[in-house]
Amino acid sequence: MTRTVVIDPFTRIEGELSLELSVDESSSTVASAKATGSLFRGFETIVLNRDPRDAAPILSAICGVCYCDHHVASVRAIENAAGLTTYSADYSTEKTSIPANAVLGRNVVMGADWAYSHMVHILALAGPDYHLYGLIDALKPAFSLSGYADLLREFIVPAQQYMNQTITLWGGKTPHPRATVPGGNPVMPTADVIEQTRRKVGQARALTDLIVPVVWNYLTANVAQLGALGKGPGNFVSMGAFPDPTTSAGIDRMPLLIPRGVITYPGATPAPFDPSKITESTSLSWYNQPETQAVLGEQSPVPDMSSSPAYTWTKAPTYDGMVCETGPLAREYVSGIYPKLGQIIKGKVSGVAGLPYSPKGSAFDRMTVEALELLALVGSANNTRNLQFLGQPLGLSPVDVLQGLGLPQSGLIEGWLDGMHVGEPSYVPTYQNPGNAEGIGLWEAPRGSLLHWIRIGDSKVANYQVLAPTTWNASPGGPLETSLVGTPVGQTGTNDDLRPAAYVVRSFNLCMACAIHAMDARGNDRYVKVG
Amino acid sequence: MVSVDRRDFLKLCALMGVGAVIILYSSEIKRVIGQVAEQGGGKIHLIWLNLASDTGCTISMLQASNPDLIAAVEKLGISADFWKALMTPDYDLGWVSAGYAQEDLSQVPLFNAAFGDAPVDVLVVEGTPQVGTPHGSSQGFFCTTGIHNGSPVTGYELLQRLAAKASYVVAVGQCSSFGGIPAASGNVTGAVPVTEALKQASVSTKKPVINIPGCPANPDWVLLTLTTVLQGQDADLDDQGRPKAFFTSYIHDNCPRRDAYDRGQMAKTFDDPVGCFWELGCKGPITQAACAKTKWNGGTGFCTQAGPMCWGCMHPNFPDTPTSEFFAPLERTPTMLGVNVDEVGEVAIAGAAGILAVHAVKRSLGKKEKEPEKAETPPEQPAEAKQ
Repeated sequence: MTRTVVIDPFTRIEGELSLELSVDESSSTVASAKATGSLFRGFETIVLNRDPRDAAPILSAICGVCYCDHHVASVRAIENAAGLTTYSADYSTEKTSIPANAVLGRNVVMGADWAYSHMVHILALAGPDYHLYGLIDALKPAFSLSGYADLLREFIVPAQQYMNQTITLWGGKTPHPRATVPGGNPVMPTADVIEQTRRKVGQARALTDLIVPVVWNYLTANVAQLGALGKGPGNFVSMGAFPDPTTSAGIDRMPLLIPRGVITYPGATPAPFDPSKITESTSLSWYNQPETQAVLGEQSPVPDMSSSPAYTWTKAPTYDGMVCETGPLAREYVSGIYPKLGQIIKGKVSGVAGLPYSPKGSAFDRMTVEALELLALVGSANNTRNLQFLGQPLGLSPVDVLQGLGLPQSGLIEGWLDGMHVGEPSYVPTYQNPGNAEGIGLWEAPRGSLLHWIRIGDSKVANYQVLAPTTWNASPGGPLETSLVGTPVGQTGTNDDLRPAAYVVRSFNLCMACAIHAMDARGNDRYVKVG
Repeated sequence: MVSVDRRDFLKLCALMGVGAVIILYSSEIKRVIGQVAEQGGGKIHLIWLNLASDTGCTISMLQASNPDLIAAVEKLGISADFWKALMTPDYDLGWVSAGYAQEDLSQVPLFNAAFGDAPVDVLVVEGTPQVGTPHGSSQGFFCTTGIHNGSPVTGYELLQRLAAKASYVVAVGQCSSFGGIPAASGNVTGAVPVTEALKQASVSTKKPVINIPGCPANPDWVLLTLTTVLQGQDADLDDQGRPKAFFTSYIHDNCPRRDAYDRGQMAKTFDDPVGCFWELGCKGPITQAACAKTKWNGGTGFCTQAGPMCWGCMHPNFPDTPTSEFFAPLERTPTMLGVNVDEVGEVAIAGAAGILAVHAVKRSLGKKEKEPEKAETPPEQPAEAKQ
């Protein structure tokens, strides 16, 4: 016997998600899950026939949470089409003709964007599930906090504001700073802007130094439960982020701080990433075209809700035919940072074999990696050796963790500021409309891998495709649905019965608006024919 | 700090431009908010409805600083009964049906407000209503939220029910105010502004819909407008439904590079540290907004301060003509203040005083607010003029 439980609307995520759980009555666990993305906007036809540069300021509004990411991924696709930035054959490095200052300026903006997004997700979106990690009690007696509103006012809202103000210094406003354009970052790195940025990062660090250890200790104390929830497909994709123009090769051969790669089974060595191996299926989605297509050059299908057995606007992407998870866990697995953290804590307490705690990922792993990335971005001055695991002392401080991982104590954002050269350009007016060309913009958004692809024909946008993180994670048959299977469901008849399912869903940090974007409602005649 | 009572405060807003008020009277704003709360007595029930949106305006509200969001919610006595992205822990799972509390409207305040007896004082709409019909489905099914009587409920239906019931309807952001990007040329979902969607459904509201456009809306403007109406004062709206305090002057009027424009010094590339970005596509001359006065993100900056230019994200037609092509210059003759930009350059050589005199004359004629409107309907549209 099964019964059906529907959660709709699913709150404290971005966008419209309806979740249908089929619960096995005998075992009181989820037998199957269906995730329905129930909002469709259709960005890819809106940018058609426009000046290619106009795509970026429009497509930034795919997402109002990770706004910088869509904007920069789009600018990068246009720069790639125009020949300003190119990828090595294995996509492991990039060559650019835009100034190093511009590369670093974008890194600062994107780093602040990751940090703010992680703060909001960990604390305000997922936080209530975890009773706010016990932060209110943990911060006493130094701070007088009587409830969630106090925590929001004193810690959560200010911390994310410092990061948004950082982006504003380099982009004008948030959400949707539209300052970056093909050719670089017109906001020059002056001594004043750099100093103001350092001050903002320092203010954020003062708060995260108090918050992150409490979150870490809460999650690791509950690892037995959280580590058993939300096992994913075990395949992970990362499309890379943060090119480094400060090596001896300069802008001619930039390695990536977050490398591109694919892990196809737990423990595997990451394989090189190849975007031509990505396909999208719409057989379970509300579109008229069930055939699987390569995402590069894909002809967006027409919305069609009559198609059965479709149940969502989200398409189903695969890499080399494999369902993949993306997100902080995926990329820090590929980068090796998270396994390295596992080596650091292994042996310090009994019962930890390494990280990821669950080889196919878990709610614990996803949340913990986000906290780790936040620490890495803003850095730490916290030398108090009070980090725990399973409630046992590790004898490590946040600073020890950063040093052990080879990460700068003052954080990655300040590291990028250090690499800038005041007085040198951060923009070059070399962009020229290529007339007819294709370009790819690869990036990692806070929630995972982001691909923008543009075809320019007759100097206009002839085709545009976006593949966003939540399209992978919330796709029909994808990691979210897979990871919910086996999740226990209580029998008290209250919302608490679904707490474990909520842990799993929110661990993916879903963004439904990002996930659903594509289509061509008038059929292929909408497309400008090229060549 | 100067102390003013509430009515004087409102007069100040009108007379000085709210930007100055925010800077000079931030503590006064907090005091006024406190008074509203004392006089209001009960809770103010607010529903934040997301339609075709990217949640950017919700994130923008987290950046509010004068007043900040938490202080405003607490002091105004707002009960945010439904705000999907920022739900309080009490309602953290949303609408759970089948096997739990099916059709128990109290489980989800959004549905209790739309279909039940729960009061709605303020309806905030974020995102564009979609009145189109997907193939093989029914009107409005491009966006559904929740299930009622066993069927998905469209965002369009929720809008109609809640707007008819609410004391105030506030369209927050470009999408709900003017359609924005989801309603841009090429969209196929029947996305239209809130006012248009309600008109098509023959739904009338108790008060005129207040539009606070922008991609995103400026959070300080939203909270100050809410403060105003929750005092029982009608917001002073222009013919586009926008609070005049925030949408009268043009970005161009208060741009940090205005001096360069007046001198006829035009930037030729985006890395020009001084020049006006008109020729590179800046839309400040046709965009009415108080960005320069109040700034963004706690006074940190705004688009033409950081650089390079205004993208026109509060212009009623954004992102279509005349805000795009974004990198094409606005039509130049005889649009701005009656002065051709090329001529400005020539005149500047003759003497900057002449330019200032032109502005002075225009101001004295009281045409300053009207004239840039002409730029919106130039003889040749920029998009067509190019290629």
